[in-house]
This record gives sequence, C-alpha cells and structure tokens, in this order.
Amino acid sequence: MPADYTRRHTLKNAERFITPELKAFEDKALSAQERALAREKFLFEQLLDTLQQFVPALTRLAQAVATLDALCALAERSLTLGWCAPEFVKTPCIEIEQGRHPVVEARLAETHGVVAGGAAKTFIANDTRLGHLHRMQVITGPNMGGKSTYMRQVAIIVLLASIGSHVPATACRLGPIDAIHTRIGAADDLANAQSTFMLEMTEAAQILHAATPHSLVLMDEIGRGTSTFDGLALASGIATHLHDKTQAFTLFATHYFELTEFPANHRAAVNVHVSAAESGASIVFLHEIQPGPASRSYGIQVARLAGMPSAVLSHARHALASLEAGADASKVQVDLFAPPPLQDDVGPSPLQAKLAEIDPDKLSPRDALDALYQLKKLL
Amino acid sequence: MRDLSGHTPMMQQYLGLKADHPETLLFYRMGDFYELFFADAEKVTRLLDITLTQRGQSNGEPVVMAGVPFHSLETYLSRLIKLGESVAICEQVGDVGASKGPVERKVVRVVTPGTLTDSALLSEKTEAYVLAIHQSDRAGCGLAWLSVTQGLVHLAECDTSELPNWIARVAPSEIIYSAEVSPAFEQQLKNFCSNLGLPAQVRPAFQFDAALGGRKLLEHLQAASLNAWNAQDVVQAHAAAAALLAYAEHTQGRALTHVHGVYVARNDALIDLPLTTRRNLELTQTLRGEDSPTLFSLLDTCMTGMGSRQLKNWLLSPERDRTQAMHRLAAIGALQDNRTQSYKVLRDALKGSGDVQRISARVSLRQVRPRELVSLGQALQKALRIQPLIPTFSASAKRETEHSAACPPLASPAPPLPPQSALSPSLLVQIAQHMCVPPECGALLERALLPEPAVLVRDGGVIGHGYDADLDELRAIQNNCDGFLLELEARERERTGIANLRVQFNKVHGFYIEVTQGQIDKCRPTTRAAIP
Repeated sequence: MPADYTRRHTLKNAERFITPELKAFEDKALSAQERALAREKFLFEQLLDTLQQFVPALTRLAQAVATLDALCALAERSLTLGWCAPEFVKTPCIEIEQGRHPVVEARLAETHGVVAGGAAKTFIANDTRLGHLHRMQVITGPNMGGKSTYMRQVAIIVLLASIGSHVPATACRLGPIDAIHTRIGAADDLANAQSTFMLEMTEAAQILHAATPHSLVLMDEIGRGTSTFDGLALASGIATHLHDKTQAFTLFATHYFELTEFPANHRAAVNVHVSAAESGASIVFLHEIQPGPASRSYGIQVARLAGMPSAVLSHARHALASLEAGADASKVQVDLFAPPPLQDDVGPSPLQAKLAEIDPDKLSPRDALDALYQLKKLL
Repeated sequence: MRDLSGHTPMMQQYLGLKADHPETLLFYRMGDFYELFFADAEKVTRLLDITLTQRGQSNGEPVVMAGVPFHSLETYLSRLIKLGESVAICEQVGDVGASKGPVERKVVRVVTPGTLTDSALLSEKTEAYVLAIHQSDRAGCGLAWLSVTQGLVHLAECDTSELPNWIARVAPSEIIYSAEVSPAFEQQLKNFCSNLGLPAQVRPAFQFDAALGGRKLLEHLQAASLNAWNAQDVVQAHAAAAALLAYAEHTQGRALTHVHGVYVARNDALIDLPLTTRRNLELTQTLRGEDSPTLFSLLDTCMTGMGSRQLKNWLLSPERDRTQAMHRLAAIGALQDNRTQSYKVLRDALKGSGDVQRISARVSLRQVRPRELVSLGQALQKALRIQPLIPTFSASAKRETEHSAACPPLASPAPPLPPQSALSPSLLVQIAQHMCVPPECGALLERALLPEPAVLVRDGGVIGHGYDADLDELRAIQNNCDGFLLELEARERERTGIANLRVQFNKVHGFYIEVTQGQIDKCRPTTRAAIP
C-alpha cells in the first residue's frame, strides 16, 4: 500500500486505512458543524456591535415613519369622512359650522349600509357658537334627543383640531383652549363604593376648581342624583359659578326647566334645545339644536318607546298632570304616590252617570237620603 | 441570608438566585425546561393550570416544582404578563460539565408588564410604559416614565391630588414606587392601581435619588446640562428617573444605551384631558371598556404599528400651543394635494413596513431576532423609496434633504426642530431628512443575513453566504463532503490501481479507506514496501 496509508482496522476480508489527507478532512468535517454554529453566533454578536452606531439614526427613522404614517392616516380620514381644516385664532371662541359626532356618524353610516333603501338615517349636523358674548349654552330637550351627542361632538371637534387633525364640520374657528372637562352621568363607580351622587359632586367640584376662561366644560344633567329641589338648587349654583366666576365655555345640559330662566339673568348664557316633533302620543327626534328653551321633555313618550307597561305610563301621565297643575297653583307638595283616577277614556262610570242624573235643587231631604244610599251601592 | 448548607448544591444555587428576586417568579433553566420551585411553583400552577410535581428532598423539605418546556416559554410568559406578573428568566450560562457542581446560571432578564420588548408580548398598537412615582417631602410627586422600546424618558412633576389624572394620561402598564413613601400615599396608590388592574412594584428607597437621576440623564443625553431640554428644575422627577432607569436596566440585564432623549411634560403645556374626559368622550375605550367604536378606532387607519402608537399619543396629549397643530395641518394639506395625492402613494409604500422603532430598541438591548433584522433591512430600503415621494415644496427644503442624504449626521444628540414657518410643510421636510439612514447600515444587513434566516441564532442558518470566509469554508465542508470523498476515492483508485477501493464513514471509526483482502496484494508494488 502507499506509504501514507496507515492501517486502522482489519476485518475478516478487508483492511481499513487512513491517510493524513483523509484524517485532516475528518477533523474538519466532524467539527465543521459545531464550529459553524459558534462562528455564526460570534458573527451575529459582532453584527449587533456594528449596528449600535446606527441606533440613533434608526430611532429618528422610526419617528419619521411613525409621524408620516399618522399624518397620512389623518389625511385619508379627512377626505374619506368629509372633514375640514380648522382655523386657529387668538380671541377666545369655539365656532363650529355643521359639526358632527364622527363616531356616531360612522355608526349611522354602517347601519344605513345594512338597511340600504330603508329608512335611511343620516347624522344631523349642528352649529355651535361660543364666544365672549355667549360663553354658556343651557341645553334642554327630550332625553334621547341628542343632547349628549351634541355636547360630546363639540369636545371631540375641539380635541381633533388641537392635535392638528381636520374636523368633522364644514368650518371651525378655535381660540386658545387649556382643558376639556366633562361631567357626564352613567358609570357608577361601584368598585370605589362611591354613590352616584357623591361621584357626581366630586367630579363637578374638581371641574369648578380647575376650569379657566379657556376651558371647555360639558355638564350633563348635573343634580340628577339627588332630590328634585336639592338637585335644582345645586345645578343652578354650579351654572352660576361657571358663568360668573370660572367663565369657561360651558355646555350645560339639564332636565330642570327652571334653568331655562337662567339666561334671563345671566348675559353670557343662552338657551338652546334639541327639537322633537310629537305625532299623536308618539315622538320623532330631530336631533337638531335650535335656539330657545324646550317646551317639554317628552319623558313619558320616551318611556313608551322603551316599552314601559301602559299602567305605569298612565300613572305617570296623571302624576305629571297634577305636578304641572300643582306648580301652577304654587302648591308645595304633590302626592306622587296617590293612585291615578280610573281609566277616564272609557266613558262615564255608572256612579258618575247616576250622579249626573241628580239635581240637588229638586230633591227633598228624604229623596236625597235615598239617592245617597243608591250611590253608595254603586261603589 | 439563610443558611443554605443543608440544601443540595443545585438548590443552594437556586435559592441564592431567588433571594435576589423575591417578588418575581423565577424561571430556572434546567436542560429543556424552565422550572419553578416551592411557592413560585404553587403560584404558577394556580395561574397557568400546569402540573405541580414533587421530586426528592432538599434540607429535609420536599422539593415542590412545576416546569414549562423552553420552546413554549413565550406562550406562558404572555399569559403571566397579562395577569400582571413579572418573571425573571434564569439561563444556564456556563458550559455543561465544565466545572464541578451545577452549571453556572444567571438571571439574564426580568420580564415585567411595563418593560416588555418582545414583539410577541407587546400589542402592536399600544406602547407599554413603566412609570416611576417619587413622593417628595412637600405635597408633590416626581414622575418619570419610558417605554423600553423608545429612546425617550418623560419627566413631570405634579401635586399628589393630580396623580390619578397623570397616571391616566400616561396609561402605564406598570408602576414603581419607593419603599419609603408614606403609608397613606401607598394605600391610595394601591387602591388606585388595583381598581385599574395595574401592577405596582416597590423599589428600594435609595434608588429614588435626585442627584443620581440628574447624572444618569446627563449620561444618556451625553450632555453637560439639562438646560437644553428644559429639564434642569424638575428635581423630583430626576429622583423618579433614577429609579426608573435602574429598574429598566435591572429588567433588561443591561444599560439602555438607546435612551438619548428627555421630554418634560408640563401641566401648562398640554391641554388638560382629565380621566373623566377621556372616558366620557370614548377616546380610546368605550364606556364599556372595549376598543371600538371609539374616536381612536375611527381615526386609526395607519399602515404600521408605529403610526398607530404615534396617533394615539397625539390624541391623548394635545398641546396648548398651536404651533405643532399648525405644522401637522400644513403637512396634511400638502399630503392631500389634489394633483399628487401623495398620501395615497405614501400609504401604499408604507404598507408592510417593519417596526423600526421596536427592532432598533431590541438591537441596542441585544435581544433582536435574526428575522427582525431582515425586516429592518427591508424597512430601510422602503424608507429610501418613500423619501422622494414626500411632498416637500420649497427648493431650500429640497436642498436640505439632498444634503442630509449625502452626509447623514450619525450622532446628533437631538433631532433638529422644525423651522418656524407654518406655510411650508416643514414637518414633511424634517421627516424626509430623517428617512435617510446611512446606506452602509442597509448594505450591512443585506450582506450579513440570509434572506430567510432561522428563527433563533442558536439553530444556525442565519448569517449570509459570502459574508465571512471562515464561515463559508465551514459550510462548504458540510455541503461538499460527498464531492470531496468521491474525488478522493477516484484519486486513490488511480494511485493504487485498486478498482474497488472505497472511501467510507462510520460513527465509530470516522472516515477510512477500505480495501478488500483480495485486492491488497494487487496494489502497485512501488508502494507496497512502505507499509509499516
């Protein structure tokens, strides 16, 4: 065999050899995989070292891409949803023409898409004009009429403008703004075991302390959490403070009709109301903000829409009538829990019919006593 | 420290490591599993519904343990993080069998809800912040917060009464505070956090050191004074920053070299959006706590996670000063321009861009995965294509862009402020400038990595061909084994004249040349004498 052959192994009918060349190859091949792995790890670490110098540039690139992406998204939204560029001015004001609530509008558009051709509901746009002459709007009108949506839309438009986005309106002029405060009912803070009323007052107090003439304040149905007179008294106190002391831009939605008197004595406040049209016992919401106070609140009609049992509605109508009568006659207390009269729309009862027949002037004392007994039986 | 001498060597090592992380679940690497012991095991069994086992005894106690396989670590991590838990990952760092006793182990990082960097654990559209709160002697608080995947420390100071609103504004994923805050303060903070389901960690009081914080910030900014950032006077926030950076470094197991910026959030600089306002206006969450439909869900048509996070940030922190808003409006106007409709083109171009922000943070934390680097490389190429599409009108802006492309500033401490002109879309000019990363970075990535690398470096198959001669040779050996052996066989047949000579391999003997007994004698005589 050649000189460089080294015997490794002898089998029954074969000899196995190794040569230096093959031996070198063996060492290389067997460790190649391990060494390749180690080499890759090393190179990867080295790559990371080299990349460190680029991190600041990469961070700036990331910031640039993020900003560009966000700007493009705002540009796209503005065109898709029909928004306009706001205008910033130095004088304190919030002036919005044909403002919309973008999220509610989008929801309406979705449902409209589903019932295409059906009763299409489009969002009703509204103007808002707050400036040094009118710093406060007292908003009245039926529940479900869009008071909350209207107030929120103003806040959202102000916020969108402030981040440099276009806004859902046809025109928007905006003065300096330093805060957006909201007191809107709904979520009871059960976890904190705070009562609704306590929470309401805490939030309202925070707003009264923090708000400035450049703040936008939304107050929705303040005073709802306590008794009527308490609530009314507090609501008017808060409204007065916001008007006289804080002088913030205030949207003050309330269910107290008494507060529609507020603008009469407070020059920077105006009444507006959300409109509704009554058709028979039912009601159609127009979601339109109109000047002046609302004439009624349509609460019972709303309850009817909500499927309240008719007995309850009847009770409520009676109570409402006596409350309104009581208010007119300046009576102090009305018994809300007195039973309502029997159904008045089924015609006169036998008792009433009998009673109607009687002419007291023509009765002898004896007949009168008889009539009384008969009437008693009809009870 | 307790006397551990009664325990087995391995339990001694475990208990020693655990002592440094008493509040954190310790995942202790043992071969292909991460094991948890004792109370940790019981806790994780309850939280994850995995099996609790018992193996042997140590110091007379039964060793209660539970484990998860190493390859499904991420799944378990993400479940624990969602539950607000923190996890310390302890790896085997020594060579197995290199020394007597258990292999050397080290906690390499601590995964906490507020310091996440892993894309698998992070929400693409939400930033995860950790917020440090320092209670000062007066009725005030110092705040410092950062997202580990961003290079920016935020500072603020506020009254204790405003703290809930600040927490709401920052929306952190985790809070840290000093062990020595007043009991009333701690109680309030705890109540507030537990209502929000926000994990809170207590940190040693000495870490809340204002002087140390100031020094650390200067180190990160590589500056001699915080004046340029208007951050010199927020001393209480410096104290919070000291603890914040210490905590972030503790979790990442290394310094955060990519933190190069400080931003002081001042109450009078932003439009105040109290917690109630955020909730009532349904900005990012509906009143029922859902993500949609909200103002943000309507606005966010961003093509990248980076864009979404940026937009959310804008929405929640509008500035009182209108300059910024006017810059953005000018930019939006330019993007919408009827003729070019740049925004459409740009959005198409942005689609599918990698998360440069998070990837580059992971580069500096050395946690980056090979595939993330490939997508970083692609993002750089994308950026080069996007740059000329950005509408930058004025000629001077064009020149600036070209200039910056020619000689990119490598280590400028802070990005230049946009010029104060609302008429030209100066914001877009700035963006275009920053779109350019030194070309050698992209070239390096392209050369260094395979187009579709393995998931983990430890599996190999990551580094590109032609990048390193040694690696190429090693790979060539593996690939060309057969070729070499066939060639050798042919050569040896020729040399010896034995036609059935074979070159073979087996696991016991390695490579060998086999010649049958019958052929040995037929070997060419010239060489025969040489057999020993």
